[in-house]
Amino acid sequence: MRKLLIILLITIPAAISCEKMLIGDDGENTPVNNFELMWEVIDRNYSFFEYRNINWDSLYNEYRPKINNGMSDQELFDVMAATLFELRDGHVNLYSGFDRSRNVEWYSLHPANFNQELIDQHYLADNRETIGPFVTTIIGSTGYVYSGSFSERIKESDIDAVIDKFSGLKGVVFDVRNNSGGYGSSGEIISGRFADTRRLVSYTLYKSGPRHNDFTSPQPNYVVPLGNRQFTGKVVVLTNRRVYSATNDFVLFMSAFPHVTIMGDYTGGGGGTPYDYELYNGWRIRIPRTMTLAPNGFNVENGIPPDINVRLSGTDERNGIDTILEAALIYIDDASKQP
Amino acid sequence: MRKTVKIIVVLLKLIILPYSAGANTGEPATKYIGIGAGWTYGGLRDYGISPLYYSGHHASGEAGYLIYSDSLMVQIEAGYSHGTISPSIYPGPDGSKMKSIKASADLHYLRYAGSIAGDRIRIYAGGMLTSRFGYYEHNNLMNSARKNYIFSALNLGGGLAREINAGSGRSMIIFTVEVPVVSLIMRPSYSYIRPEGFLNHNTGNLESFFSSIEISSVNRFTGAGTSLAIERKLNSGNKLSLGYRWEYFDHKNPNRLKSALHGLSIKTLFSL
Repeated sequence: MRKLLIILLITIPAAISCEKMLIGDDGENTPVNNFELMWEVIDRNYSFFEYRNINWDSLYNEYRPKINNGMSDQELFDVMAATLFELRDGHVNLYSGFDRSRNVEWYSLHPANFNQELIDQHYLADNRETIGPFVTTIIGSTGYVYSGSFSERIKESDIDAVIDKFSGLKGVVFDVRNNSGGYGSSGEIISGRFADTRRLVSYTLYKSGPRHNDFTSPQPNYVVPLGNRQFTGKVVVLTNRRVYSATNDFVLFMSAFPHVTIMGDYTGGGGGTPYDYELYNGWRIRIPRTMTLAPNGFNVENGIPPDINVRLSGTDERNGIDTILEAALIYIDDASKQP
Repeated sequence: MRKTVKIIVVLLKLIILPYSAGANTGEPATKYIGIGAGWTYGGLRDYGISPLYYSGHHASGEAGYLIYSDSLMVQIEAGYSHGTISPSIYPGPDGSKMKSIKASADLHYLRYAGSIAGDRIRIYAGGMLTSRFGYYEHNNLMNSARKNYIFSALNLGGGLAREINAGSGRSMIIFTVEVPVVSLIMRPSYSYIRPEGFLNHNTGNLESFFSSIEISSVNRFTGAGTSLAIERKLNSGNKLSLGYRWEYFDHKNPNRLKSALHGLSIKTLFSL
């Protein structure tokens, strides 16, 4: 009995104390360790090193010497944010309790191609009807809907009401310019109302290992007709460089339908779904860890090209005319005249 | 593959051998249905979801069918636990917590193999089939990242049992240990992010989960488990069991997972 008790008394504490040794301790919460952890997490998980031709090792060599354990939180944040900025990715952020780093070059380096005031005053004016997040009107016999954000979850009843309103019209202009994304479900919920049949709309590749080119095989995504009715007449989706992330997905899905035309400028991209990782100090970094491909294999990370490239003319803008919207209305008008 | 099959065959023989070698004294076996509840404290580091060590408490429940005789110890048990885990290094806000669900199904088959200490301590040897399911979800961050795994391990196992007279009744202390030798594992190396949407039309995550299936030996999957139970016979013929269990496993795929847990449980074994 004594021997048995001795065995047990040795085994149980040994099991408990072995756990930390077996799994390993976290590093200490120091600026150096937090930088090292950030670098390692990104090295193992970030999707676009090869796509963007980024040498992550050389960035380590550039920024690591700027880190020391005596620096303040603000100084640490600034160096880490500068390191992340080099990725030039709108889905890469550093969150501390006091700030969030970001890179907005995906739209700030490009023409706006959108003037909200112009749309409000000259096209929506007093004829607008707001249905949930959608602002709608009818211009001639074409439906116009503006969707400026997907930051709220789209209610199916709202988009169904929009489709009902436009039923029987010769076409619809769906304007998502300056919509920088939000809920990933938005793309499927809305595009399902324009789906003529089940269609392959994209592929997702997940980062599956620590090497920069470790990805899963492409996983197909489909959109099927949703809602009580679908609008399968002529549809033009208006885009600019501020179309990003979930809205970029929406444009990609819509582009799979033969009755849909993408018009305007390139979208901003952001095809990698971002995911958050914590650091030892509780700060979080957000990085994309997937890639999205169009059905033809095109990587949409840097944006989707429009079917018809139209720029907002400065002269038109001054005269209260949205060049891109006008081109879409003419396009639908012309298409409706064709047999 | 042929090597793995050989290992499985040898292991099965090791399980069966004690059955034929162990002295069957012909005593009737006692069968029990066991139902219990408890608490586990588990920790893990899964590079597929976070580089940090996460740990937390879980409430647990278990049920099983047990057969005891002098020559045989069989336990078929299933367990479930539910809790939240959070990073150990800093007092995380709610956003850093992960929901954690675990389930287990075990078959312990141990035969009498000898005794020590003047027959007071009986030694059992045999095999154990242990299956574990784990699911954890970072549902408070920007996107819901989920990770799950299933493994079934064929273990070499052993046990010690000692009857003691304490107080007014008979009690038994049972100690077991197992080491997985061959394991069937389904665990994609990456956590899948489920942005809202594609819920009905995308089976990619499911396919990738099943396509990750592998049969691994100790070079890729190592672990160990121990348990200690004190069972006290009640006047009704039923038993009350107080148990402690420790488990550890390490799956070496590109995003390595190490996990350990401690569990306490109290069970009633209803005699059949």
